[in-house]
Amino acid sequence: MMSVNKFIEFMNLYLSSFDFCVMAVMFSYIFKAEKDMKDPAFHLAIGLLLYITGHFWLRFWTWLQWYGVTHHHLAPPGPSWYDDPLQIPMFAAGMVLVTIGLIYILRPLSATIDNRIWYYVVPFITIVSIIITWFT
Amino acid sequence: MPGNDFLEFLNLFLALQGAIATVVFGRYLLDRWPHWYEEPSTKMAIGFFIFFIGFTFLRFWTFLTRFAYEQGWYIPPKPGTIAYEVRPLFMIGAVIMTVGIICALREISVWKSNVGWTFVMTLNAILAAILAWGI
Repeated sequence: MMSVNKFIEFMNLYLSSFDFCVMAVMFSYIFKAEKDMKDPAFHLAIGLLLYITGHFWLRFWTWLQWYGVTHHHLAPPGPSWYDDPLQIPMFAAGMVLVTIGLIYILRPLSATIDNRIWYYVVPFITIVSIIITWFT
Repeated sequence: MPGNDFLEFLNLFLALQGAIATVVFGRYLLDRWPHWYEEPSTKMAIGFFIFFIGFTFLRFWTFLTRFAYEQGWYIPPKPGTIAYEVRPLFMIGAVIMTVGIICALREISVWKSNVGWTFVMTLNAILAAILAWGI
């Protein structure tokens, strides 16, 4: 019977591989585009590149964990997982990239809204996620 | 603190971010209706709108399975793994994301082929499956 973990491994590798395709295309678009820092499209492209790079990082790192679980008999993420000092900084780096990228994406797309709102929305959803995860 | 709590937090955080991005892309598209197919920027926005729908669905579903496990509402086979019966839902999320990303990539890239990008994504899926189950 196929291991259940291999499905997670497959999904993470597949999604990280297409994140990589988007990264490559966005990278080439940014380097070919006119470098006008006031152009909203340029900000959007930078935002998408940062956002997708963050996702690639998170997915690829998760895939590496599950690859270790299924191919090298490492323990799956569990209570002892926090003992490894590398885990949280690696995930946090991805989260930071995703968050900065998302703010860059949202600002040019929502020109009619006061852009400063996104600096409040992101900490707000972080607090909501923390409350739901650890206080329910 | 149970070990999977951080992943539960991460999934919810990313799902909420995805939901916000979906709403903003949706609002952007509504403002430009009915001229969606006249500008490359709206065609790209359609692609990312579809991508974010799939992404939000996938992350929310992953969060819900973990959250339900922690609350004792639903018991998957093992902590941190996915039950067989919910796998099609993950595949639906991945398919929606793939369709969205193909729509967006063909607009951003100089390579405008739908068939070409579908081939690239299929190749990605095959390579991922070979690495997961083949070796």
